[in-house]
Amino acid sequence: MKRQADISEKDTRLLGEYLDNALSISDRAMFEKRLQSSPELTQALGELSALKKQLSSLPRKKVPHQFTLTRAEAKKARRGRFLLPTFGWASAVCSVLLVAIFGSEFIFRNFSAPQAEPAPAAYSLQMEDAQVSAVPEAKSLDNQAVYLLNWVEIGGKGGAGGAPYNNYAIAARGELGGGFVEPGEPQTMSESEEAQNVPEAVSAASQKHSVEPLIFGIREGELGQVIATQPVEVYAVSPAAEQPAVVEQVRGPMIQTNVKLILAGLAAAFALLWLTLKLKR
Amino acid sequence: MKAPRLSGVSLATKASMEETKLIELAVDGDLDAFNQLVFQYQEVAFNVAYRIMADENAAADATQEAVISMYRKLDTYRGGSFKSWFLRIVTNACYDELRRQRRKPTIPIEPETDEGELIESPEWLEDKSAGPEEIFGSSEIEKAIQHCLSGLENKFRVVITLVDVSGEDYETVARIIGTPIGTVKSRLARARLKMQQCLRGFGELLPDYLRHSSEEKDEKAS
Repeated sequence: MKRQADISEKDTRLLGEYLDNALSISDRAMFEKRLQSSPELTQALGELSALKKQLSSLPRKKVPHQFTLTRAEAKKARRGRFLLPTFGWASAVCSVLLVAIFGSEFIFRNFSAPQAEPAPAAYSLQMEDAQVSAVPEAKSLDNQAVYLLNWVEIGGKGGAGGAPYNNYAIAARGELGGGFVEPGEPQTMSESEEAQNVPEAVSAASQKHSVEPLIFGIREGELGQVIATQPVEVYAVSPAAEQPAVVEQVRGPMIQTNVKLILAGLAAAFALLWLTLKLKR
Repeated sequence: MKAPRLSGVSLATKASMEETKLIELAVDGDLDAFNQLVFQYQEVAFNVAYRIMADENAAADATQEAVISMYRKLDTYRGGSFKSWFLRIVTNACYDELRRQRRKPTIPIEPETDEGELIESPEWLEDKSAGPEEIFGSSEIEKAIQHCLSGLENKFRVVITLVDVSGEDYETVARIIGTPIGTVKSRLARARLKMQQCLRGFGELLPDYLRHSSEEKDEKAS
């Protein structure tokens, strides 16, 4: 005869559910049919039923003492009620703050773009001075022909609109930003013209402090004139003066080390208290 | 005038209402109400703990811990069966106690002879008073069952104790141990199988149904 140990776990489970009245009506009916046709299952049911009976008839132990609480015990229990979670949370909060501080510092140090130093208010004026002083120097250095460059399409209207006078850019005659210049055929400017224009530029630069309305970046009176035509700024302005220096800012810590140390100490102390209380219980 | 007789259902309803009232009072800080609830369930709780821990002192410790823990957690009680909630705290206390025992295994305080050999059962260690078995009148079969229960893994022992010893239904057990009902069923089936296998080893102590199976087994082996 098949012993219960040989019965599948699924059948054992079904037997248990049958015994504990945990099967649905239909499942129970089906299982009863199986029980009638299988003496092994019937025997297993008998064994299981006997075991259950034995277990449920185990004598009840009497309590060795009352587990009720006295006033003092209750007071003590209530007193310590908030300590454990409080220390736990305090430690967690300190740790999170520390992580946040270190994390944000790390991110700012490693992933933020280096910032340019804000241009000082007098920066544009300095530039002007540098350019003006550099013009004669450039003249002496550069004996090559000066090209009048046209950066626009023929007949186009865009171009030098944004060029202020102090950049010596082209303001084409007749039309803003556009001149009828043959492409690929840079126009040269004669020495005399150049000489004529340079003082003009210098004089323009000398008016640097006056505040006049600009039309497309060009003074009203200079519309239609070639202010300057030389690409000398490459030489004229030293690279240091040309662009604001990109400063790799040496950033100090965002939060003082003392604060971090205090936070770390608090986190450790709270964690220790929490652990002590937890182990005591 | 005679007081009207209450049927079983009415009594249960009244008891339930009383329990609800007691719980409300206890949550509001009424220690007497809390103690009444403890008094009502302490025997069930202690017996569950005893079957899980297999030691009276440890069971008493676990039950007391559970009561203190329950008092602290009263404001987290969210309705439902108070007994289930209490038993859940008791089983958790038992698990904690078992973990503690595993961390700090007890060292027998048996003295040694001059040659360094252990003296087993020295006279001064003998307990002249009646043992717990005698006090509670435990039978041999009970010892065998307790032995087999103790041999089960904790998760199986808890389930079989709650269902078969304490008589809780599957749903309640699932709530107590915090698992789905399916898990309770499968754990129970395995626990019962293991118990049967273990009890077969006790031969003469067993009731007829198990002895018969053991004899069959022996015959097959020979």
